Amino acid sequence: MLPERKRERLALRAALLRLTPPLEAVAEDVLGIVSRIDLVTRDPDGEVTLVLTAAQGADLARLAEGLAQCAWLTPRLADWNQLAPHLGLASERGARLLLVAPRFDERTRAAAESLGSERVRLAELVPRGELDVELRPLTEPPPAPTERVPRPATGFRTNLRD
Amino acid sequence: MARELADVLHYFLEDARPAPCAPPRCLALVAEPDELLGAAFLWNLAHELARRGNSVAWVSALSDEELLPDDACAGIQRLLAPVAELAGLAAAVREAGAKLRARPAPELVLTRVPPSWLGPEAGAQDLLAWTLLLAGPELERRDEARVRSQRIADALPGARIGVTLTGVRSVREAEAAFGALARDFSTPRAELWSYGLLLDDHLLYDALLARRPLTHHRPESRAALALRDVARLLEEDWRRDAA
Repeated sequence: MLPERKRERLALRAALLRLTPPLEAVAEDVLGIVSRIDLVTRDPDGEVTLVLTAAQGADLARLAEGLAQCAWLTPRLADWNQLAPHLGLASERGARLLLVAPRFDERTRAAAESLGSERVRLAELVPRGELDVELRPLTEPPPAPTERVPRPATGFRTNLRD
Repeated sequence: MARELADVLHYFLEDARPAPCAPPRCLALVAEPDELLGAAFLWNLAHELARRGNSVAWVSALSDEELLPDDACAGIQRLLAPVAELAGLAAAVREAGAKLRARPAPELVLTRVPPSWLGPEAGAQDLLAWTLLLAGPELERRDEARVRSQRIADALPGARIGVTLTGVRSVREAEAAFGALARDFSTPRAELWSYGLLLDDHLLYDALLARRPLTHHRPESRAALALRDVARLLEEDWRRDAA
């Protein structure tokens, strides 16, 4: 029998994979600045999202903690890429935060909105049975860098820059 | 001996049988069999698309592809198709979902088609609806791409012809080359679509020799960034079409 904390973590990892875009856990229980980061994840493009869970009523404080952990992690991502190049982390884009909680305080929502979904996303944690959970994002994923409308036989398309 | 789910499904209720799968979408790279860049590019592209969570199969009719590193562990299913013409390859692509018993069934099938096989034979619709060409900035390579695109359009009017620029040193050079190619592209019977560029092409071979996909072998390189971008553009169009 798995300890409860481990079971919760496994359920959370499975729920993260069902998000759009899916988030794959690459590190767990990482010792960040002063405290631990629940999960560090990457999406299919290699963008890094740090995941923190918050108990009911603790979300506002965890938001501040999450931002601090992002600031701690971002300059270390290039080193992580050296250590584990197969992860293909998009280190140049830094880390963003996904805060997960059963409910969010109005102040947390307002703060997250002002920071923008490029930096912070919120997702409600909803139990599904005893062993599973569902994540309901409250903020939209960040928009694509540029809207690409294919124009046949005309436009050159790339997201790269010289 | 291990059995797969399909082998024991008859024990279950009729309703439990999976519905027939939709045929997978096919992306055909039109390239000569001896164009090694084509093989190296497609091998790396298959890995990148699989890494992005897509179910990818490679239907391989050209003998040199048998020499490529085994990619079963990367989640790419490969089917060898001993055929020598377009209709045979089209049939192999159509049947890929049924022949490749591993699950999930492939959503996208990649294959290489020699230009000499292009023609309005049966099966062109399955194989040439979405094609990809590698084109360079030099006049000779643009001319080669123009001839190939014309042959694709003759074989299947309305085909989508994708172009990825190679042999360029910068985005600006690739953009200029694509503009020239679009001007050369004279047929109104097909559509020319841009699918980015490849930079530092030689790293595609390095990755192949190292038996590691480029995006793992040299993840920070310009070549890997460019390959990821090509894969993303292809995936976006494919998903948009499916929706």
